[in-house]
Amino acid sequence: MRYKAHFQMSTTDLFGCVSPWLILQEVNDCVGWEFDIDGVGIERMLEELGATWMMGQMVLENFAPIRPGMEVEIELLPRELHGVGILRRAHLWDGDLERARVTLNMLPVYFKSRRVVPPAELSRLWLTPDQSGGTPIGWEQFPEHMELAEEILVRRHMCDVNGHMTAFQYLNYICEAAGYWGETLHLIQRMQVDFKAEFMPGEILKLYCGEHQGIRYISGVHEDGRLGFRASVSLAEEETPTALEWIHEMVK
Amino acid sequence: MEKLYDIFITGDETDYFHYVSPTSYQKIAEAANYHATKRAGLEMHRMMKEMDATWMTASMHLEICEDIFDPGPAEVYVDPMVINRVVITQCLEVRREGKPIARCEINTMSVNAKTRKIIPPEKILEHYGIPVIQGTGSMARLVMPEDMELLETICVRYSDCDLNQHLRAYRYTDYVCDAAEYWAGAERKKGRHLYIEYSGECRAKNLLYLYKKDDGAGGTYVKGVREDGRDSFKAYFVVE
Repeated sequence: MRYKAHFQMSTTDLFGCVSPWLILQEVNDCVGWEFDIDGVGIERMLEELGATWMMGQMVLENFAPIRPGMEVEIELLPRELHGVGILRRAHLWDGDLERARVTLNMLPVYFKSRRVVPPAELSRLWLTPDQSGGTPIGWEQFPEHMELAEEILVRRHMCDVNGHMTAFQYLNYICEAAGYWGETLHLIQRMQVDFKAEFMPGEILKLYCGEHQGIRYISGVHEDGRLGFRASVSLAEEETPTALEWIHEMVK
Repeated sequence: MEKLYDIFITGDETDYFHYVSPTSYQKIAEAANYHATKRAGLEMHRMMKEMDATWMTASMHLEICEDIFDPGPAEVYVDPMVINRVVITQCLEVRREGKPIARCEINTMSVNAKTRKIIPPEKILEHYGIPVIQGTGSMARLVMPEDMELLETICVRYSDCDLNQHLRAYRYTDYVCDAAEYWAGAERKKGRHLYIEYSGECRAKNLLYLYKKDDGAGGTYVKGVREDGRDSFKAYFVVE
């Protein structure tokens, strides 16, 4: 299905671009609407299984800047079942130009125990059939040496109804650690985030960074050493036009 | 009031307790303000190109009339924008099924994007041939108590900055809500009024010192002070 994306001027970043977290949020909203149609919306999941959806993995490729005012359409491909996860692939179109691509691996999780719901248990809720095909998102190898870059206190404004820090918030920290924002902006060629163990309010998130063959690696670790998430980011070489350059171009 | 547009409040816009938070309302208000301003003929990119001018939020009063738990549709209504001295005031209402769920007065300044000097709103409106309507006054200035205590220091992040190269207005609201312990504890508190006044911008990597004081009657004063000692913002948040 195709959805119109609504990127507001008031939500752009320093460079007048739609930030990766906002792209993810918009795609996640579309996935949520389709889950409702498919019979596995959060309300029904909670009511019938005591379960919710959490993000297991995410891949973002940003081919061209997305700016407010663009008529961006999100094309959501049919869902794919891979093990316990449901894969959703989205293409963000501006006319014929594909500006970004997002792949999400969504996990059904029991709200209280935080254990993954077995596919057989979930199967009775689906109102539409699964699609086969496609390949799952792989798991990445990380460099051995990573340096502690920052410690972050998890606050409730960063958390959602699942009680944990939102995936969108992770993306901001990952982007900052990867050097996405700075004097110049370089689009994300590819970013993969594997979400492992959630961060709850009051916890400290220790952010570690490393680099290998031009790829930035970032991991979020709990105080007790458990891995919370890990991410790899490669940035495009060319600089993205600044907000001012974009505005001048628009007015022409 | 005139209907501006329909919106859909998604689950992603709800908070830890699954309610629409003051921050989410502020995002709705800012988007509506931008849209209403643009509809009146003030396009930000033209203002930037032709007058080196941009909009900055000067102050806001948000009143949450009804707690909204469920994501779903809502409508945004606006009054005509008016001038109150150096600010343009936009009053708007968010309604669900015709019933107000939040009201907001948002005051914006037009500022030279380079020098950060205020541009009188009449000058902008005249430039674009838009009729000037004088208002009867905007939100009163906030007076902070003197004995406020330092709560914490925040380092401004790039991800929290906007097109104006400074900390975006709604992020301050998160800081205020956290400082007022709006989300603390197992029981959700009901936010009712948020008054916030922005006086000095913070840029990425700047430090922002947060001070607070409870008034003992459900209200919390919060202010942010910059590294140079100047006030960054003042806020008063009332919960039930």
